[in-house]
Amino acid sequence: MLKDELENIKKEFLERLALVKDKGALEEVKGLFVGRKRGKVNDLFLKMAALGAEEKREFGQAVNRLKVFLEEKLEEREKFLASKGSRESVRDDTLPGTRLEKGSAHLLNATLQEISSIFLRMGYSVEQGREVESDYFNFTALNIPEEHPARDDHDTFYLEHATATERYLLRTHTTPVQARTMSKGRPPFKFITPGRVFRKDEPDDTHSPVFHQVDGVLVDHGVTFADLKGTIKLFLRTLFGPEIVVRFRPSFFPFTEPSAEVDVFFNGRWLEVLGCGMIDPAVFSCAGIDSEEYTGFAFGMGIERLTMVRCGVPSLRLLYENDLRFLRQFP
Amino acid sequence: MIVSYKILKELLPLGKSPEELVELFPLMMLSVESVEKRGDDTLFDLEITPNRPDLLGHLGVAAQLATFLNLPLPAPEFDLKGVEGFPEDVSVSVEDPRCGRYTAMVVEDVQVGPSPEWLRERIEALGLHSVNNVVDVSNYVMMLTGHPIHTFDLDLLEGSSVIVRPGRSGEKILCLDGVERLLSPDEIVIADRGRAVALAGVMGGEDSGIRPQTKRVMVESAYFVPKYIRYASRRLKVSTDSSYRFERGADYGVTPLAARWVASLLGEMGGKVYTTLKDVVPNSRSPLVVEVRPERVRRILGLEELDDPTIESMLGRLHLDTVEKKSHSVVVSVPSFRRDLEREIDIIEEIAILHGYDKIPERLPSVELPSVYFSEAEKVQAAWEENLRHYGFCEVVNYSFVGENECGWSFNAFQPLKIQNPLSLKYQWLRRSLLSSLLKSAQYNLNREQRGVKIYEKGEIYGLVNGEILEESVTALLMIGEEERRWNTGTAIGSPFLWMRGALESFLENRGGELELRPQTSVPLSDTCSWRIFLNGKPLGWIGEVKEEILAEAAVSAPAFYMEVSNPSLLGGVKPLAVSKVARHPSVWHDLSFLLEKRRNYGEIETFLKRGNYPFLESFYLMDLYEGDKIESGFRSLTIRFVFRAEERTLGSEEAAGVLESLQDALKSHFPIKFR
Repeated sequence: MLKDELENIKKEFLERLALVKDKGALEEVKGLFVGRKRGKVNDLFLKMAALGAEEKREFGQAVNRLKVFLEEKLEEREKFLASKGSRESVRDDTLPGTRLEKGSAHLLNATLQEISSIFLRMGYSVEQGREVESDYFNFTALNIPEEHPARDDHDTFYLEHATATERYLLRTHTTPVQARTMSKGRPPFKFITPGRVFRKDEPDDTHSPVFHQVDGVLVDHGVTFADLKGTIKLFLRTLFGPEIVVRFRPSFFPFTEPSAEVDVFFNGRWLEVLGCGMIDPAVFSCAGIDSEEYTGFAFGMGIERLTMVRCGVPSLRLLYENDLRFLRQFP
Repeated sequence: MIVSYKILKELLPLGKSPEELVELFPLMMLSVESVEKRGDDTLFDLEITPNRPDLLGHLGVAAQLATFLNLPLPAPEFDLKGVEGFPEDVSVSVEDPRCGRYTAMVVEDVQVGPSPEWLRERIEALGLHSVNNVVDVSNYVMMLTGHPIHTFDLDLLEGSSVIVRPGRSGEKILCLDGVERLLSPDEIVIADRGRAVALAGVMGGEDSGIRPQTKRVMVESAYFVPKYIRYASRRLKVSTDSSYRFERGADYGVTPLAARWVASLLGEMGGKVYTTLKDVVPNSRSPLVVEVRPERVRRILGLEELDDPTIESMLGRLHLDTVEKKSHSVVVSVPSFRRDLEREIDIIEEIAILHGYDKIPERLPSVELPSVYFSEAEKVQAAWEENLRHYGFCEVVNYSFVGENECGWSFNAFQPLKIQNPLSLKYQWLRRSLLSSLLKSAQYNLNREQRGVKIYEKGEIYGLVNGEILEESVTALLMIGEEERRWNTGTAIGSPFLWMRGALESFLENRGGELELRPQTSVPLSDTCSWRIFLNGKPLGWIGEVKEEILAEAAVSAPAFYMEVSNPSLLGGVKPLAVSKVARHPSVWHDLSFLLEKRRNYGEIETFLKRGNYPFLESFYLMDLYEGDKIESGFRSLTIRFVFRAEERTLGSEEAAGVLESLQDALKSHFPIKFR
């Protein structure tokens, strides 16, 4: 009962205090709540007389705290009213806004995250692989045997370390993660494999020995090229905007068939942004999956290239120089 | 490959302008790299994918156009005039099964000299150098048919004989490029009675080729099994227009046509052609047949409306002849120039391309959902990196390779991994720590107007442990320059070490991880400031000041602080965020200010206070620190705020004061401190 009364007084006080605009009104509120004669807090002390000793002590402390609280607030308001009138306190609102020295995510990883998050929303999960990969999973399991000319497109870094049965290399694409993941489980599969890849290229405006890819795969009963087209278009519209014009162009990858390069019409010209296709039966067979029962598609894209296209980065070198004046442009 | 519009028009009634072709090519596997007008011709530079060697000649490109424009296959026309027969003194034998076919023709009375104007123009238009009429003719026919041709001076072949055989160990050949190469049985060679005269499929020999005084020419049009040419080209490190085509797969059916075409052109230039071919086919090949199921075509492409008759007519346009019709499939035979069509899926792709990718409908697949999209670890990793950015750290991305010295700047005992074929010596090793990467980025920025740097990188470190290749994801921070924050009293908080430590501590604050730092020496960090970080008693990483010698080597002149933590250990050591109750009753706080000798650590006091058991003490924290001339020298002043609270009631301030008194006594009896 008395406790409720305390809360009510506090509430009423704060409401009235907020309306106070000058010293006269402030004095009025002061008198009403903490005035010696008819103040509401004083009245509370009077009500205590009827209480037993234990209750009296407890209630007394609570009323005291309320009194301290009200007096603090009154003082605060008084200062506020005073400051509004004084000349010295005039702010210069045209001074520059206060800046926080924020850190930033690297543009490459920011793009990689953005791309991943689009696929996550489309229901893909993320699979991680190893950057040091075996020759088998990087090539052979993906339908690129030793004598295949497609190996020419993958200038590969090999490690000196090797075992009797396996050569090791720095993966030239993230596609081996697909082969590894598929050979471990059963369909359906629906995942992306973002990560770092390596090719033996001298760094220049469009090449880097280290770069990044996002590959993806979807395998189930009855997956068709039409599903692939729908998926890729939805992805590109999300990334580039709903108006983007997309073109599928026949191409060749050893691990997909039919294969396509995908271009977008961006800033007045066609730009190649990703490769995709229906998973080749040979890849299914390496993973122990029956290609008569299951079909699926795979796609892959270079993050550096997409970043450069989208953000107008003129040279790939900028992405690996790590100049803070460049990095801070993309907080 | 450069393709001439003029030549295409000679092979096919095109009915398309060069501009129309530029639009059309990309839709039929021909990527246009560039287009050049040259006189009355237009030249297309086309990128040919490795699976389509048939497109490495004008005939193949014309055949592809014929399919798409629904025209008959091109049939080149030329006159072959001369004497019937094949010279009796010339013998050809194939002793190596890796040669699938060897077709030879002989032309006599040849006048070697400059090419006629039309030929020279075409050769140059196609991006080749004009050498002499004989060489130009063989190159020209290669560009027409896609089939590599070689010509010998027959008078330089001992016994006028050609033998295709494996190379012999120790055998040498001086090639046309002037390089002498040591042969082995891995290579196929063309030999005469005595020696190897050409590296089959790759390059001719210097002393059997066409010379100014050559009179008798032998034209070679052969087929070699692709992978052996690839092995030879790779082993001997030589790649030519010829090896490029053979290793991708030449057309074994076109060898007679190509040979005749060469002979006919040499005949036009005054040579006497023996019109009979010597065609050696060691093993006859049966034509490739493939079974195609229309239902499968529809299932792969998602093209329900593509009916059987349409599919069959498309097979016809693809030059695939029906051999047999079954109830649910068609068996077709594949022409020799399309040996890439080995399986049903290869033909399905052709149908898709012919139908047009743009005419395939779009759908979204509905697939049973995976169990998780995003693992807990990924969420925590993202939050961790976000926290670093709040602390002002900018992310950098560096190569994974380092030089030999830098590879040593590491906290672990991984055996380093070396790249066999690095770009350069400074990129020869896989990094075992991110320190050298971050120092490199720091150095770059310090040289470019930056006074301090706060950077981080997430990446893999690599090494060999017990013979197993190990990769570990780590996050590393590097900080140079003082943080500008100050205590209330104006003393700079200042230390990059504390800033980095704060970034880690604040991340762990509500995630239930117990953090502990123990002094321990390490290779990269200075002996006076090298701490090992433990999370819940398990090693997490390292923090400290980078050794001077390392800074000197990295050309960084300012003191640098470094922290490296293992991501799996960090993510494994935290609990998911959970709400803890917000106190309902007010707290009471008291500040305690005292002087402490500078050589004593705040950490000692903190540990001591944490170990004690004081009623109602909810928390305490360092509120202020002062070092300066207002206090006794050799001392600093610390202010610790103690927060007291009772859970179920409002704590009286006298009660709190009582606890504070006992706290004060305990501190006084353990530390030489002076209260202010």
